[in-house]
Amino acid sequence: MRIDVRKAVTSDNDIQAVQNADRLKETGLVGVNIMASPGAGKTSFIVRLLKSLPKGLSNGVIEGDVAGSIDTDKIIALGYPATQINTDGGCHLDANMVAKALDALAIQGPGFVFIENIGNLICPASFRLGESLILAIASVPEGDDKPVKYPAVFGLADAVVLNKHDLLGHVEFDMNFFLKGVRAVNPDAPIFNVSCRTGEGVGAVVEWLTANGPAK
Amino acid sequence: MHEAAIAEGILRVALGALPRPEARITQINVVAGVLTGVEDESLRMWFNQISQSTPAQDAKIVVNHLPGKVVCLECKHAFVYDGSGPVTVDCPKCAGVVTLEGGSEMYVDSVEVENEN
Repeated sequence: MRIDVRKAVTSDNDIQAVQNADRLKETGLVGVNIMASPGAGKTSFIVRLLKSLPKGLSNGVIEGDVAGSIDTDKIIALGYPATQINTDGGCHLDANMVAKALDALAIQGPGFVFIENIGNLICPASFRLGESLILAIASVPEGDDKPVKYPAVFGLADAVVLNKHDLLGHVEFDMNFFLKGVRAVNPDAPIFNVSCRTGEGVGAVVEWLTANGPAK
Repeated sequence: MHEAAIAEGILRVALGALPRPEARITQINVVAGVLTGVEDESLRMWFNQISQSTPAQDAKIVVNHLPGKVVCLECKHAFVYDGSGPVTVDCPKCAGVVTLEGGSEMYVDSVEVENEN
């Protein structure tokens, strides 16, 4: 006997993600899910944002890593609240992990909660966390083909950040191909050229975030 | 290795669909768009491991890898994206701007259970 089911594989996760989203909203917080490959500059980018966002916001960070708390320690040392999720080998964050991390973070808005996903351009795309915004980061030395090779992550993004823009001209990177690749998988997302090393372009992302940020 | 988490999701959804909790599941039909990166062998391995001692033990997992579609925004030419390589950025007919649609679906379509009689 065949039984029609037609139910999402991630349906339990999706329910928890909606609960996380409600909870964030009630506390005046906006969740930002940051996805990129390892080494694209996720943590450096979050640090730049924390330092550049307008005063008066209460921002926090949830760091996802397979192991260790190097990134969390870095952010706490700068004076911002942060909490660590270790997946012990798991390749993506899920909504249950983020729910526990929100308990630990225990901050009140208005502000942003930056959720640094595991460095991976495949698995994180399938698991909603309760975020309002998704940022995908690529970086110049990774090459111009990341959007067309990993269409799921770049297709989901509300904004695409191209980090290490200062390395343009020093490594092989065809900007036109990159831009066309982003457009092929994502017709609408704004694309920001950023250098976390020099600070170039961070202001434009801050403006975009503020426009999409917590209600005043 | 997100197949571990996906296998858990499939098992949960399949068990939740049973008419009686002890009915035996013989096959689970899954739809996974090509963008989800689901690898069949890895999925089966994880599923076999976690389904032991459940009504879905030994169930066959059949995955339908739903393709995406690339559409030219200028000449409307459309072609299949099967997930096996990078997405084409120029329309092969008119070199226009293209957009990728679909391929992110991931759901349990149906389960087959041993005859109730």
